[in-house]
Amino acid sequence: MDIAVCVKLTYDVQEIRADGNGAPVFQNVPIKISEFDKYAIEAGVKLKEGSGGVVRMFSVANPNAKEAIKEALARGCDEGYIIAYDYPPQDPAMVSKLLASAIRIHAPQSQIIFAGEASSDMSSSVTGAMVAAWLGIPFIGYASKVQVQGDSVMIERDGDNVIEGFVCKPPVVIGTSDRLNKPRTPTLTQILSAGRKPVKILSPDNVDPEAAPLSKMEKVDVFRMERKRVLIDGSDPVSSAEKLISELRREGVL
Amino acid sequence: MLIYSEDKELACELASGVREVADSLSLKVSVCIPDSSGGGDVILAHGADRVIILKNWSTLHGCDAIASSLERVIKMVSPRYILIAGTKSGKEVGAYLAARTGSGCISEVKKVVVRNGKPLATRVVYGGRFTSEISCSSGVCIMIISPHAFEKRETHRGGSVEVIDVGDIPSRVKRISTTPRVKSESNLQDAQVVVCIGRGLKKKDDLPLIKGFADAVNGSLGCSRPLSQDLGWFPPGVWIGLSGIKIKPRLYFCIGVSGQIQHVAGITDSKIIVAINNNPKAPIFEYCDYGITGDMYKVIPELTSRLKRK
Repeated sequence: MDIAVCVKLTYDVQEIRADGNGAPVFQNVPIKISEFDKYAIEAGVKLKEGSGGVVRMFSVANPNAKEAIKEALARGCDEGYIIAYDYPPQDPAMVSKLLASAIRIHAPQSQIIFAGEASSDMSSSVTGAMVAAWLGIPFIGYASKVQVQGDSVMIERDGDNVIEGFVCKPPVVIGTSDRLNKPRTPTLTQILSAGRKPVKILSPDNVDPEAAPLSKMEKVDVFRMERKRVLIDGSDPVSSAEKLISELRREGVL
Repeated sequence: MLIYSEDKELACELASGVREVADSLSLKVSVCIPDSSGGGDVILAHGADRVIILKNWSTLHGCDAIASSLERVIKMVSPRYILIAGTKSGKEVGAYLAARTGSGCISEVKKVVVRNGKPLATRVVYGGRFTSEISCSSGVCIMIISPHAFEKRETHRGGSVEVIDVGDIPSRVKRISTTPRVKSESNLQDAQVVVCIGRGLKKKDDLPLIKGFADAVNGSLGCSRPLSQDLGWFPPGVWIGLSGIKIKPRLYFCIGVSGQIQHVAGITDSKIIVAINNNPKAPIFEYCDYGITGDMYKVIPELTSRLKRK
């Protein structure tokens, strides 16, 4: 079965600092695979292990993020398709259109397309469903089980206060929840062989000249949380417990 | 403006919450809900000008079919802005609809503000470390609003309720089962007092220590991501954080939680945050109201016994 996986290579958000004006500083911030996309890759690799096929990774990313691309391949993707973009893109309309068009051009035979439930940086949780809509195929998100049975796919969806069972005929885009699997750490052999796997760098203009951002961050400001930050020395458990309880009673929250 | 929500309460929140923005832009507010959610009159009482009920909504099995039903509603009301209640299903429907209609899509929206006659969506970005005001350049803009970000308020304007049948829209996926989730997994988001345990817990066998404390403060117990996802000491789905459960209690205790930004972004709506951690340099102390720098294994028993005494 031909499988495509949409992967976002994001900034390591822990490493983004704010400058004196509260604006983000991206210099020297490492690029990583978005945490939830590891579940999407694992889902693709697992299906391949069961029934054979090819897992292709698609990403709108900077081709210089070699380590992150290599990691996706080490995790079991067979081929990489990188739609070149200078920095991690944040507009889901553009990203999803580019991913959908790249899949249509380079892997139109894909039966299941996996996408992580949310990205580590934006947590928008919309790209997978948008890819499906551009491709004109169904989307089922928050999948906690995926099983291929004959010519159908059975999907358990971890929804809003309900667990739902779905059945559909491929092609389909499936959004993976972190309950679906446990992403494996790549072995040394996998890491070494990743460098030999084919990676195609695509230009956005060739993939889809019409894909353009439809939203724009007008202003980005460091998140300020107004908190009291009263610190109590806990080296004496008795007095610190006493102090905390009396403060919380005074606040009227205990 | 068009609002879509599968939940009546959230529909009321969105209708009343966006009323001011709609008025300042001279826009009408139409609300579209499934027939199963009921309450058209209640939504009118919360500031809607028009309510459109989707009859036979339950026959729409996938977000693609629901998006098709909304395309019909779009033809009826020609909205400039579409607001979607950002439940899991809402996000999927909003996203699918955005690509179908070639619209821009802004998710996780906390607030809509008007600047120079243009609505901007406010949300957190970059893992919760920053906030941003985002504009949209497409003809129609879809904003997916976080549940409970807007406040519910009664403002009766006297509108109309109408019904359209969407039962003829085919579904390419088939829902074959629906099982309500076990309640205990999801009461954290509504709890008044929440106790969260993190990697400071040395082993699973020490959990009774924290459970005892949670009982003493009458709190619901949750955990940070590693305890659920990596260690499996908690069932999946009870971890607190930006992409896990977001909480808004009166009182929040985080014990042995370092305070990674993903976690902090999920607790910002807490009234009072208390942190207990043995590392005085833990980032969580930047985000708390009260912090005890000390050994949780010594402080927690002391707190528990004092609280039980009273």
